[in-house]
Amino acid sequence: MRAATTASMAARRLAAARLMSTIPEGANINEIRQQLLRTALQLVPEYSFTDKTISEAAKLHEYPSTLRGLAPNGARDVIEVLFEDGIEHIRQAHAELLAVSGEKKPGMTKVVTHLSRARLEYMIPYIRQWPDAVQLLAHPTNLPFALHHLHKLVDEMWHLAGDKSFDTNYYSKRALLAGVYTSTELFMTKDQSPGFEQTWEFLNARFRDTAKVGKAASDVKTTLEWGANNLKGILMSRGIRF
Amino acid sequence: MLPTLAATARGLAARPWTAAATVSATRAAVTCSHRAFSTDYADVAILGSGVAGAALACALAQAPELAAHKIALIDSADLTRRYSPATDDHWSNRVVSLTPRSVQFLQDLGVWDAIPSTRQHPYEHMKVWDACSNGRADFSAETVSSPAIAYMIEVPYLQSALLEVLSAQHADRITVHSNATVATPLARDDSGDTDAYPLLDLGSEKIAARVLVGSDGANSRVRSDLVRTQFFGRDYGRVGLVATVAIDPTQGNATAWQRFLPTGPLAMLPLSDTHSSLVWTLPPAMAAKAAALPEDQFVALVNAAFFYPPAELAVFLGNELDLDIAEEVEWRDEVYEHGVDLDRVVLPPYVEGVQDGSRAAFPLRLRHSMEYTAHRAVLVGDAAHLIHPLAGQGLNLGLGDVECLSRTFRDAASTGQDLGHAHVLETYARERYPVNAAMLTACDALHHLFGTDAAPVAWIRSFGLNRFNQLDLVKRTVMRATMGEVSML
Repeated sequence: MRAATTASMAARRLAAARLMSTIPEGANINEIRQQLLRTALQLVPEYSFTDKTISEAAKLHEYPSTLRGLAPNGARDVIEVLFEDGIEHIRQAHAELLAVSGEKKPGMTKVVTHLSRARLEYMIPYIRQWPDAVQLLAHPTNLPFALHHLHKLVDEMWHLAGDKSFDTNYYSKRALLAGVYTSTELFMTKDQSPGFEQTWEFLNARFRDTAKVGKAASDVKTTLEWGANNLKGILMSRGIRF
Repeated sequence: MLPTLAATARGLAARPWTAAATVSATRAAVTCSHRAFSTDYADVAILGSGVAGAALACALAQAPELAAHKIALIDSADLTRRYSPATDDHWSNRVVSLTPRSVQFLQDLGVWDAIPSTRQHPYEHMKVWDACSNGRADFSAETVSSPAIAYMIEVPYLQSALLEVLSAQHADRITVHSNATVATPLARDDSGDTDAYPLLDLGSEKIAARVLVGSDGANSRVRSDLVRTQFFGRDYGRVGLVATVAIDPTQGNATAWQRFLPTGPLAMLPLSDTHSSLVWTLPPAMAAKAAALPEDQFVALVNAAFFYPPAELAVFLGNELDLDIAEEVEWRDEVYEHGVDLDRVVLPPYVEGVQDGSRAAFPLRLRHSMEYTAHRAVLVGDAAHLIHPLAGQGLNLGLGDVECLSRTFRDAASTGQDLGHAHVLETYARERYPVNAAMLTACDALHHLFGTDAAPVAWIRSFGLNRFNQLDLVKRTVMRATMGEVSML
């Protein structure tokens, strides 16, 4: 028993040593929370997206495991940190792309494909545990959260690519990219090929589909317009004019 | 204006100056002024005597509340001509599938019984299946305790029956203007004597109507000139190829069949024990090729189209090879016979021939008018909406419009309202717009769902279709909605 305890304590000390940073003295509650969640994110490969991850993260910082109460939504808060970091990551990737291209500014498609790939590469350390996160996000109470962050992601990508559309194209572009990105991410969770090369092929194939079918974008657009026009017609038939 | 003033002046000069005298003089002047114009007045003018327009005329003619209303029916065609088929076995290629609710409406108009039963064909079963997967759904009329799912009828026969009832029973109530071409663009009366009544210039006479009903079809002038609103929607890039085919009479013919191919659905609808109507949604090039085929090749193609994988049909209908389709089908059938248990697989009756001259194609599109009404003008039928034929709903929606409009007019007349008033017309639009929008959207969604051969979509829709087939309650509700018994909303 003592040997086991010593062994686990040693393992914990080793893990603590591997921590990217510690919580400084006199930190306020928000900083503690942020750091706790970041540590939890690092522990995801070991404990996956569960409440245990946060407890273990607290223990690593030598706090009691009840500190996981700082994350009332449990694993969802860890996922939120992942999403926010993901946005930062693609902003950096965009800056790097601009630096590399120099004079010649890259086209919208090139930027979007590059950023999608960057965001997926960011997922690599967590991809084997990602199905647990997907299961969590698919829960009805978490759907608004999931959709909000998916929208943020595709919106950021299109914005960085320089999209200036102000009509239904705005929605159809984001809808298409959301479809491409989500399907590739799901494919990636099962991809065992070296360097995830099958995932990159899958991503390129999805982009080719949407490019070939500029018609797909116009199909989404016409469907949205059909729905909007019918809604307008129903309102007008009830005397609400605009 | 001048005749009015002159008449009033004469009236005043002729009589001693009293209040009563002035009133009667003015009344005389007003009567004079009406006679001074060469315009006829109608309370309701129906422009377009297709099925919708003629049915509306019948419905209004038999309404006791509208007994004192002047109703005019105007069409540029000869409304005295009646359709009669060349032989008992000859069928028009313009056929329609009437829901029980539409049939009930036509019965109330006294029109349904005017059609001989040999030219009405009910069907009790419908089988729908997917070419790209094993999804299928079977519908049966007894699930909803109905004698039939729908009734097949020729459109010209229905039109003729409506006109016959109009001329035989309602000649005193409806003024029929046959062979009447209306001057376009349509306009409203701007003389100031009326509340901007829509004005129809028939050359020899003019008709000013308190309300103008636009039942003038897809290219409605009432919509484009008077309602002036968006007719939004999409073009499918497909045409509907219709044909009348002779089938193997030994199997009985009380089932409607529809196979969803990625290019579009192929439907066979029973017209009698020996003949059926084909409606095939195809890209224009393929439809042109199919329509031009010799009879034996076309027959082989149709039989193949209900059974072969879509890839083989694409070869038959493509441009790369010049194939003798009948030969190709013959040797393929020999191969398939070995692999397929012909006793267990369910297929439509074998097509044996196609009626001469019955092959025709019309472009398919989806359209909905943004507004159904404008000042003293209202749209019904195809003037208001166009739909994909895959669910056989177009004419049924039109009859639903007509039933609602006639009911609205009757209610308004029974409370002494002006039929052309915006409040009356809005009652109709408020009721019909969402119902039509729902049906149009549903058929459009179905077409898109089945319009692809992408594996994930095919799998999902096959799963969905098979699951739907198992859920009796859901199936019953959907059937009742498409049969018009419940609203889809």
